[in-house]
Amino acid sequence: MAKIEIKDEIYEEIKKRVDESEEFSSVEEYVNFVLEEILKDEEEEAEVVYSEEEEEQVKERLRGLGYL
Amino acid sequence: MKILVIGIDGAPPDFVFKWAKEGYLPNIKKLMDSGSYGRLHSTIPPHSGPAWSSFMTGVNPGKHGIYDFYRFRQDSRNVDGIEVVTTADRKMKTLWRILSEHGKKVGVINVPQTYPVERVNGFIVSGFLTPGEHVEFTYPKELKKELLKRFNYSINLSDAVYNDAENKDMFIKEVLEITEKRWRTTKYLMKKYDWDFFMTVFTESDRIQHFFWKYMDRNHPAYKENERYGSFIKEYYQTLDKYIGNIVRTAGEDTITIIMSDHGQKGNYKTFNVNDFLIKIGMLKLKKSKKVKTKIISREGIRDLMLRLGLENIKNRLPQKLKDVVKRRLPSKFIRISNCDWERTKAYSFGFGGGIFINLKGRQPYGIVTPEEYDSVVEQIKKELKEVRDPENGNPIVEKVYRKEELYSGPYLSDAPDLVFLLKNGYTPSTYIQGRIFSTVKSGRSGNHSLYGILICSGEGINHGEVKASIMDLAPTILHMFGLPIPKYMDGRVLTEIFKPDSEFAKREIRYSSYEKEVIRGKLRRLKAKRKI
Repeated sequence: MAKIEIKDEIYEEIKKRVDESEEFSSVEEYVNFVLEEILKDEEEEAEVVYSEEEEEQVKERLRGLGYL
Repeated sequence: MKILVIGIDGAPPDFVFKWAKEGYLPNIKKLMDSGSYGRLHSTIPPHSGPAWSSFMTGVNPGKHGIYDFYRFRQDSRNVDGIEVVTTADRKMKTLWRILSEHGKKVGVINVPQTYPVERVNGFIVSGFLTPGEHVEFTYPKELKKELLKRFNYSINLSDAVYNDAENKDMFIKEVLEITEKRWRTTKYLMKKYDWDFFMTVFTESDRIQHFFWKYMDRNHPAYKENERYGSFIKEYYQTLDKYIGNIVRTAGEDTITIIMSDHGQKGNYKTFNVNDFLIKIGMLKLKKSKKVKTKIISREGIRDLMLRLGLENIKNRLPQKLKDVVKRRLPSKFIRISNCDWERTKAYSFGFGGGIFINLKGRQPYGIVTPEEYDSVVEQIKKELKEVRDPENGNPIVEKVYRKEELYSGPYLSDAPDLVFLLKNGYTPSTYIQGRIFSTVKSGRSGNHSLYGILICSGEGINHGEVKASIMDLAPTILHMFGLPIPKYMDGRVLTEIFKPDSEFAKREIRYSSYEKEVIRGKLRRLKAKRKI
């Protein structure tokens, strides 16, 4: 496993969080989790947004209701 | 044990509890008599956008990131700068997602702002802000086809109703039809699926209150004596009461029933035109060419004029194509990227609650207020707001002004309006640019949201008594009743006062879990969205 160096103050700050958390048992685990999450592609479902036409439909409804 | 939540969008406690006590709503009264009930504090401002998100996440808007149904961005992907929010904009996990992760089976119908649908251990039928029945509005996908075939299911009232809101007979007919469909769908899905947590929301209560309030409220400036319309809101609640009785019976024994609303409703007599106020105090400058010079050529102006000429219903007889052309050509009276003189604008109001945003350098792409000036600009507007008086009676109209950090906390605080305020009864903020600071409400929305909704909780182990709660308290209370740990980040509390002392709920220890991973994921999602990582 590769080793990297991190600043002492960051290590201490993360250690505090690890101690308070039930989900992490070490600073290594915490740092690896963060980096894995960065590399992971966003879940498919979070990517869906309105098409231009759909968004306009919703806006029209909001206008009708006086919400926009 | 199962938990059933029935949402009634905008249900006002003063009316609902009174009608129940008078015997008009026997099923709701039965739940009140056997359980705990009281007023449920909404978010500030009391608006469905942030309120439903706070309900389903147990946190304040500073953590879930939703302040309205939409947001305005100077660098928006859209020409008008307005972006409608989706499920993906909510940065905290929903109650049904947490329950799913713990293996509980969930069913969720018509909660506003649940499109696109999340994957859960059960099913979801998305609610308001879903574009229409042509999109994938259910999870699992196959459910959509079944609902359309079996019930001709509708998510929203038709656009014709919204466009012709003054056509009250059509409004009533559609509202009753869609409510019946919702009830039948609810009943059907309750039987079709096994569930631990089931939630359904009736949203049309909010719609009729917005548009029928003036017929019920004799003090309303646009009050019109009309027997049928005047009693419609109460009659609608009587219809809902029958459906609620039936849904509660269908849920069966060993079910805790929660009836709640995201906010209340009150009369909207006069609007306070926030942007006109900001123009008057020199904080907002419009581009000259786009300035709305007369009140006649705007949409609202035309509506007022038609009303005065007794031609209010003429538009219903115009062909749709002609209406669309007219609508497109009328000038917009909202803040747009194109109509503001951003280089001279220090503040603008945008959104349903009338919140005021400082045009801050470094935050807004066209920002001009420096971080050093920020405090003094905020304080100056705050001071001016407190001094606003209704010219007709000389009374102050602002109940309370908040700086955003007084109301919200969390990683999304920076998205909040810098100043948020509540107005005295009868007044409603509007971000329409009207050319005057006050407008009397003559048509359109005669009712508007108020700060307290309703909460009724009944079932085995639930006390009889009054309860005072916040909309953020329901998610942690529901998790506790299921014996599950409550994420530490939740701002709500477990409503222990509603539990009978000898009940399992009262005896059980309240457990918390850290959910550090969820917090990290939320922060990273935000950085990814900004393309910083």
